[in-house]
Amino acid sequence: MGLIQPVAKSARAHDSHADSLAPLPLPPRRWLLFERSNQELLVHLIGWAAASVLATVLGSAWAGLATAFIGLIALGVLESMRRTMIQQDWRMPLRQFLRQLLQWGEGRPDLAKIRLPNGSQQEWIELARTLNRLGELWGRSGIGRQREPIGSGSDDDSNSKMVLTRSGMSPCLLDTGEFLVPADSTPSAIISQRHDEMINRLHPVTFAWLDSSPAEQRFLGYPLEQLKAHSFLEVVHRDDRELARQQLTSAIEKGEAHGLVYRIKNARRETLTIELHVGVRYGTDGQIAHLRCLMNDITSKVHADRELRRRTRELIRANENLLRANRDLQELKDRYSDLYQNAPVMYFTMDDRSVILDCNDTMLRILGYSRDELVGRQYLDVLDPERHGSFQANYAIFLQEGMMERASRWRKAGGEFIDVWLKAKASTAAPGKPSFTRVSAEDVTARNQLQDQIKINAVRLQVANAELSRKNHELDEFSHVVSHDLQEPVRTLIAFSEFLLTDHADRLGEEGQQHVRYIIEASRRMRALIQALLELSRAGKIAGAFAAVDPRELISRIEQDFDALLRAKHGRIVVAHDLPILWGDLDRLGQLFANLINNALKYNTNEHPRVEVSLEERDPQGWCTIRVSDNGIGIDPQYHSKIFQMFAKLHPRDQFEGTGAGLAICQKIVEAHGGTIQVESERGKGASFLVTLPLLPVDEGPASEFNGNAGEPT
Amino acid sequence: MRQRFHILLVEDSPADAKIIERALRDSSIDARLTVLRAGEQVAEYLGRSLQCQPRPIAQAPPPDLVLLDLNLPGMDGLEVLSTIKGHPEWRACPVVVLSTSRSEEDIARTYRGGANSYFQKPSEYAGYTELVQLLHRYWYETALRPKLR
Repeated sequence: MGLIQPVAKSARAHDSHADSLAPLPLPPRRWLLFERSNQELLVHLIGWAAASVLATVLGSAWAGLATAFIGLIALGVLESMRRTMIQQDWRMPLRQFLRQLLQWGEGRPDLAKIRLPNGSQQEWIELARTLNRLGELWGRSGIGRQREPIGSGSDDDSNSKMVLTRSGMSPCLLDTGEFLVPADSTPSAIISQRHDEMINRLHPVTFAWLDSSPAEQRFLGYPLEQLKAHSFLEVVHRDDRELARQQLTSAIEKGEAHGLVYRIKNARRETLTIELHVGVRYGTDGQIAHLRCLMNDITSKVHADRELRRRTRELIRANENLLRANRDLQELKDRYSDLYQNAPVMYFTMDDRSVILDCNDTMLRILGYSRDELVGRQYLDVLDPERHGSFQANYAIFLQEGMMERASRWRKAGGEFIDVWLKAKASTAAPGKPSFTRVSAEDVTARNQLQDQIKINAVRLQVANAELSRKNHELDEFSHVVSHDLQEPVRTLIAFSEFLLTDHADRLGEEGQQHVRYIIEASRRMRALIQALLELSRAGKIAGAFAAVDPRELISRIEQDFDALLRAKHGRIVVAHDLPILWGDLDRLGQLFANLINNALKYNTNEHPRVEVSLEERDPQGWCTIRVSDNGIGIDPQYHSKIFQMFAKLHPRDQFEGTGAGLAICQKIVEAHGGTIQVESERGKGASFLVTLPLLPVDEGPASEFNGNAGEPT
Repeated sequence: MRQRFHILLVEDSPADAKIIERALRDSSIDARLTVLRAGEQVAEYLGRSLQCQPRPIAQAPPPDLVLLDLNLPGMDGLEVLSTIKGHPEWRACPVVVLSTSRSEEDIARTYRGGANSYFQKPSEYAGYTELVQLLHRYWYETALRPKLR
């Protein structure tokens, strides 16, 4: 078939054509009728000869000749008519027909192109024959005889030799002088001619390969033999398989399907995306023979699409980020601007000629200028005029050193002066930019005034303190000296009064003796008061440095000293184990506890007087409170402050003896240690005295410090 | 033959001196009591003034015991103490200091000054009798003393 030369087809978007169900043009009837074979010619000749012989036999020779002559003419006429028709009448309709077919099937990817001969009648005849032959072939493959027309409204000519169906395409004339032939009109021969198209034939039920173009085999990476053993669905990606199955099934029902997109996996384990066009082919029996599919590798297209979408998304995202960054930047700018403008200190910058370049709002506010008034002014306009002289020198030094911190004085817009604290830093000049100075200034007028006031107060306080201290000291000295010096005459009083009694009792008489006794009593009381005074004055004097004092040791010594008293009264002292080591003057603290315990035992009418010394509280700041409590007569709350007064007594002399100075002395001792003393008591319910005293400081404590506290740190 | 126990009392208060005298008498202590009223008299008694060097002429013999009151007008008790203890002969004489003060500083200074004992003046007369008896017992009857001429 030299006329038929497969030519590379051009892939065209066929969608519009495929979708339009335009009725297939029908071949003109006439030219079909003029197809004639050689056998037919022979029959005609034989007929003509027979007719001539018969005429000769039955009539005369002239009849026979006439018949032969007529017959010959008739044949001639018919033959020429036929030829003419072939040449003119049917060639045009053929062309037309073919053109129609072409238009109908243009861009059909499943069609092969065959060049249309331009040439002689002979070629045309041959073409027509080929077409018929093709038609037969199609018919044999079940295409040509299909009675089902395609499209709507087309005439069904059951007498035509070729009824064209969708699946079976007649050749179509291309305006390039080629015409299309259904690619699979001849088996493998045509398919095997296709080098670059991926076409296959699949089993209609199993979708196994029946045939595959070389391009497809290369694409899939499997040879035909291997493909034949597998179903098409097996190369389809798992996720698309079900869809593929459904679509192929519906393609079978509909007869074709186009633009099906699946992912497939080829032998090289590459995942590729393909676009499938499926056509159903029928057999002679009208049943489906196979599916014919054309595959396009759209992987790169899909990738490109995906890439495009991704890029678009990225761009959008980048855009959003940019917008957001912009917003943030603006916010930052605003914040920094606010920080600068409204800072609690004054900021300004000035250039190397000390002209104010810029300043913040705070400065404007404090100085009382508007921005226009201040920016561009000389710094000297703000500086206190008295300091103008020293400014240049100071500025020169500053430029050398690069930074400066000093006090200064500025003039506000209204003429008032304020004290300021300046901090200045020269900026390292960037190339091309002139150097300038950054300054922060704090209005310290109020602070200075406050400081001055504080200083004054401090001095006053110091003076007052010194005075107080001196007075105290004087008082103590005074008390000490006085009581010391008072003791002597008192002693003389007592002694000689007693001598009087002893030596001159008769001369005195009863009354005289009584008088002397009163004198002696009074003198004794005076001596006790003087001694108490002496003790009091000593209580305020701390003899030496503070040291560690163990209260338990102190109290055990006191117990010994009071031994007689305790036995006389059947009393006992109970000391807790957890009393901490104190920090103070040993003698004074001894006196303190002695006084308290003495009182506890003295003001006690109980059968078994009991004094308890316990730890009340321990303060992490370094203080502790010790409770000395008794089961004595108690103190009425209204006297709780009076009892600490010097020489105050609550009971008449004959009920409880004593100078009443004991608690005053206790208070003085406690206060000399920086602590406090308090009483908790009610009449008849005993009394508790709470003394707060300093503890041994931590870093000077010996190991024994922890003894009473079961390892608890101080 | 033993000479009578000689006590030198340096005391400015006549009342206090009287008390000691009486206490000795009431305790039946046979002792000769010399009373000096002021610290300066001690120096005189010693036979020399403070400025001069000791000269061994016409000195009074040191007593067997000196009872010294710290609280003296003019020349202080401690000065008297140092005078006595500074004298080559008299320093051997026991000096018992009597004072109204109980203060640690006074006690320390007194002992450092060389005093042999320090007593607080008793507050009751009974204490005086006890004290003189104690001193007599200790310094006269029990302790051995050097013979000072």
